[in-house]
Amino acid sequence: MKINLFFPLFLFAACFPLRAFALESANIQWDKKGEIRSRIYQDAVDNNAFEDKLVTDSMVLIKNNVWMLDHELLIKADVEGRLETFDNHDPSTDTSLRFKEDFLELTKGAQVFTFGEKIVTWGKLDDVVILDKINPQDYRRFVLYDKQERKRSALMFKYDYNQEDWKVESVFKPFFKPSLVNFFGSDWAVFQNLKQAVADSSVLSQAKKNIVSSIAIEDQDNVTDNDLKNGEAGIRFASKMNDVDYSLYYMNVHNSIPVLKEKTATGNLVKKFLYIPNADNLNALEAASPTGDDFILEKAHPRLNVIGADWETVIGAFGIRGETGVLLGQPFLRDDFSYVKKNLVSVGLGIDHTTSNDTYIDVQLIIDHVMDYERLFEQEENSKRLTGSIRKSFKRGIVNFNLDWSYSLSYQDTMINPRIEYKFNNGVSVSFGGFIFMGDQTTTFGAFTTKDLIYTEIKYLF
Amino acid sequence: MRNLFVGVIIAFCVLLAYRQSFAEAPSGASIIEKSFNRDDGKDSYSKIEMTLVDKQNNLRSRILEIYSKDFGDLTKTFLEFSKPADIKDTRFLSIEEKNADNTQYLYLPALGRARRIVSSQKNLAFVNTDYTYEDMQRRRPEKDAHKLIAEESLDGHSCFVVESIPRDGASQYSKRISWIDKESYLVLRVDFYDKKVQKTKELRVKNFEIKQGIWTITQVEMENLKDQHKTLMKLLEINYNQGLVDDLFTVYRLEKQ
Repeated sequence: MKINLFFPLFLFAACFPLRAFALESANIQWDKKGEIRSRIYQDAVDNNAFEDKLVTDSMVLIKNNVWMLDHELLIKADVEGRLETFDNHDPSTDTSLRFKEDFLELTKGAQVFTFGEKIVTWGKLDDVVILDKINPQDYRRFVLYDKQERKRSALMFKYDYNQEDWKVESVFKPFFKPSLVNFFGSDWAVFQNLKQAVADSSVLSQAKKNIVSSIAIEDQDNVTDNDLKNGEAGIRFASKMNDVDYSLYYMNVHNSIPVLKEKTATGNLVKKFLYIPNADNLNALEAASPTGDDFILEKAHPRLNVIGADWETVIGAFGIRGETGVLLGQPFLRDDFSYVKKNLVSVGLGIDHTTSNDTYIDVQLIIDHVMDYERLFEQEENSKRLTGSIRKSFKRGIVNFNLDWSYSLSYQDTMINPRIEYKFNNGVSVSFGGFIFMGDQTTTFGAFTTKDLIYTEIKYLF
Repeated sequence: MRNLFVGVIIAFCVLLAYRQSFAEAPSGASIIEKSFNRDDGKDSYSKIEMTLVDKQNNLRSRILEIYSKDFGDLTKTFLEFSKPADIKDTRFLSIEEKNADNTQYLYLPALGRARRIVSSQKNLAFVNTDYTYEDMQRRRPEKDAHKLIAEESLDGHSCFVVESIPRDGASQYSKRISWIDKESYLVLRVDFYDKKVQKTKELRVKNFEIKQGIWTITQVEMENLKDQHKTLMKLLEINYNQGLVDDLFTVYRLEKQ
């Protein structure tokens, strides 16, 4: 259980409304809101003994905004408590308590100074990351929550200069904070329950079991250390030309999602087995007689230079928006699973339309082009993906239907997430939904084809 | 001869009286222009309770705050919902343009950024109320052809009744008929007609009074006749001419915490 040292202070403040009253009387405004949410996931089909059949994910989020009006100072302190239960063959629970966002924000005329753990949203695409790279994300539950909910706050200094027609935002993050990705030991880990399945296998030899159990994935200490040399920075200029809102970006950041880097050439055989876990690849790994560093793969977060632009306008009955990013130094795995860095150009285009019967439709096309291409694992030179959503409200927003989807034109993997919600009048809502994943085992969504699920969510907003 | 003389005098007086009354009756356009340009402060802040009433009389209440400021003869409006929790922090910015549709942005907390509202969305319900995005913006007088069609009393207030027909068809309505109070030049009632020229909505002012020297509507009801659904708005607080900063009416402020 992770407990932030500041939490007792927050708890004290949150539990004493009289104290809040006293503060408010001194020209200080305290705005509190929050939510209690519980999701119950039911695995749609039993595929193996290791996957979770029933998972609960309960969360309490309390948001505090304290404005010291005389000084134009905002103190933000959001805290999130979470309890998850897993009902696989080895039932377990996981609890966490953490600050979501906590920062000080001082406004002096056109200038805004922010310091603390903050979430920044850049770019114009929904649920797609091309330029929205300031904050890392929590992928431990894969895509069961959307991009904004997955974001991890990061320690930063932020300086904004705002004019009526333009603004500049600059961000300096003194340390690097990676995205959270599990590689083993859960349904949503990259290699899911592979180690456990091998260990419990009745057909594999003890030698093979020993090889797989020896595989270790480690942090690259020099990147994840809290050292200023690992700092990141970004700048955004936003303005409007004619009827087009646009922004220009430059970022010097680390690739927040780890890509596995081998320590020895045999490490590539280890990766090959992990990504394509079949008998041939395990035999090949065993034949290479791996020892020591062969088993160790490092989570690489190479530094990226990102140059980009976004834009948004309205043409007739359509909202049109887009993002373009040139990512210099994006890591990939070659076809032989060795680690390599390439330059990548990503272009995204989104179209929004609301039909005359009030149905909202959003479609986004994302095209990636790898420069100086050579054969890569899971990555073509030019790849295209479509994502989108459809939303329809009934009974004036009391009943809401939502369908999110993603389909790769290049790899044919698909994610479909339908959801229907009923809102009661007192802040309580109940939702039913599901996730369906389709595609080849080596694709983003295809890797989770056995993880289709349905879920129920109860939420109370206050 | 005398009778003829008297007859001519009477005819002249009648003609004069007619001309006098014709000259005194203002045109529909001038009434709308005067109503549009009436003193509503250089800027204003208002806090409003909005209640949605369905045909079973179920109530859903919301609180919103509206900031408005004149920039020359154009107006910018910033709106923020503060209750209930499910739409708290939803914000809307409308920037009036002289010869084009207003530029409108909507900030949804779940999205984390502002998004442009497209023209077609202006015909749709604003966050499930009986107001559309088009209703949420001031309609400039020159966009419609106006005609004074009657003068009558409405709830004890002497009113001009003006018919307004969009000049370019760029509206969800085929026409509006407005009752404008002769004293305050407030619009006290509007009947909205759809493209089939059927009355679809009715806006009725329930109460108005002078606040800080400015005629102010304090209670208004918009009824959707088709759905038998109403949106009631009650003014909780108003402040005029507070010197609101320009910075408030920017996309930056829309996205700010």
